[in-house]
Amino acid sequence: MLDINNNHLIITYGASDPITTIAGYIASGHNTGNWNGPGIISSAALTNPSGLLYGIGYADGNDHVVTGLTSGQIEVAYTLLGDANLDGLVNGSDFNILAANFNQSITGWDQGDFNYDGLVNASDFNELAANFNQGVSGAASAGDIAALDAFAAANGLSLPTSSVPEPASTFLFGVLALGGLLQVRRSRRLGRA
Amino acid sequence: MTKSRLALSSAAIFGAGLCWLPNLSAQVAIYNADPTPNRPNGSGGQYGNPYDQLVSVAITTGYEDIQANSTAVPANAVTAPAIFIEINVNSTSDITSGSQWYCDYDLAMETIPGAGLVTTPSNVSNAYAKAVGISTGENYFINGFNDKGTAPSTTGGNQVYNYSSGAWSQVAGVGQSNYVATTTTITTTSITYGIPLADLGLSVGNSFTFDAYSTYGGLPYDALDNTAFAPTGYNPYSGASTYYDSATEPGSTLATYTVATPTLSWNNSFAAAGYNDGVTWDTNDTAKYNWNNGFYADYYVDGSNVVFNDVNNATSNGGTNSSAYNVTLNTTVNPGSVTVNNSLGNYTISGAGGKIADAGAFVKSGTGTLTLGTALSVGSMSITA
Repeated sequence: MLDINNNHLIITYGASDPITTIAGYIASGHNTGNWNGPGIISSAALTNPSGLLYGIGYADGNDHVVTGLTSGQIEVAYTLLGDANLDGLVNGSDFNILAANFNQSITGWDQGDFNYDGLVNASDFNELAANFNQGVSGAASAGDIAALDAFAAANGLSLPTSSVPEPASTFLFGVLALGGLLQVRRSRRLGRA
Repeated sequence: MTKSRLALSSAAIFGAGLCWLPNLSAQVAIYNADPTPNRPNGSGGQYGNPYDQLVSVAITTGYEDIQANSTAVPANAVTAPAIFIEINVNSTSDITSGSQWYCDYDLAMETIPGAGLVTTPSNVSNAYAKAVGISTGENYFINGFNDKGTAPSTTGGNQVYNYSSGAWSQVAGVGQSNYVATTTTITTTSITYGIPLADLGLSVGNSFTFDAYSTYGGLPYDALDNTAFAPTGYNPYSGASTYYDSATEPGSTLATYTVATPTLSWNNSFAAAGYNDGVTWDTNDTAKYNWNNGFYADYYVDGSNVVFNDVNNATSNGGTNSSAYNVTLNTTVNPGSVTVNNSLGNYTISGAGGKIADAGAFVKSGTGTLTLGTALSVGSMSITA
């Protein structure tokens, strides 16, 4: 096992893009959330500091999602679930990536597949929503929250509440707003599959 | 004959009476003076060299050593990739005379097969005013010497000659000027001299042959000139020199070596002691011989292929350092590749500001874990467990 703990690594490859292999290492190491399988693991991801959900994100420079990551490079990083662009934040930018690929068989963390199952679906949305606005030093914008809410409503998604962290003072407003939104969402859940 | 282990990367046999290689795999050996040479005493002493100490080699790094018993690699090894040759002698008297030190040893090399085109052992003049009788195509010879000085002296030098167009010419020097690109270190029982690879027409990845190895010195105090230094049965030579030649020395043959990218294995079998601090991976630090280059303890230089395994590290596998698997990396290193194969312990590489950058390949195998506390950038990655 390669345990990246809370670090990151860069693979600068040649003609052949090894992203499938790397994704396989991570999925194998993830081992349905136990992070103890052969491959790439993160012991730090098991601890969920501050109640947040962490994992190993990865991105291929060819996807042009991560700022500064060029074609021919792969980045693997310990980060928040939902942080599609590996900037350490879970915000509207990440949500937009997920939304664009939602319900598609698109693989890749940087495409919104945060649980390594080869799909971008409600499970990934839930992980993103649970960490939404984390890592951000400020309140989530009203627009981001509205977009998230609308997306959930449009897709019949149940916004998670149990994983919503205790708000830090610096972005208290945003999280409270999201929490309120979640409550509203529960009350008017459409129940669509 | 006193002999120590030797590591040759290819088969090499030196004269039976000259030295003996019991194992011709990749080992270096140093042969001390033979007190009872069983070779004939040739007129002029071409067969009479009892000081066939050298001989070593396994140019594994391109930065250092042909030495085996040296305790430290000269600092300039890291500033100019070089071959360092250490010659160990039997005793102080081999290289001293009273308060003065005299030492003159030489190595003939063939860096490009046939390039020298020295076809006969007859004397061929060179700028050093020595008659050199090296045969069979050598294109370089290195003369390491210490003319005079108060012991211990470091006033010696090296001279390198290249054979071309029917004559020897000195490289990077004129006449008898010392070859100053590297420092010659002389102790009571050894002389070490270093030659930059470039001045031998070599670079990392090249191979060379080194053929004859001889002692010889400038007048009037050659190590072999003085009968007081000569062992029983040796007829010391004085005057113009004739190098003995592996082609004519009974039982001798050529040895070929490759200047290759080094492979260094993390080797912390012992906790901090001497040149081994037991924990630190840093660069060009001659105080931290925490690696093994396949022959003996070494320090890390960028570009090396590094291996982290269980050999000499696991307490159940020869190690005595319980912290051997904890590697402190506080700086950026640029290894050629990183191979981690551990099953008997879990490696941790961590440190403030540490980074493994631009490594070519990363390979992880074995059932143990490698935990990175530092950033890593590689060219490829393979994880098999």
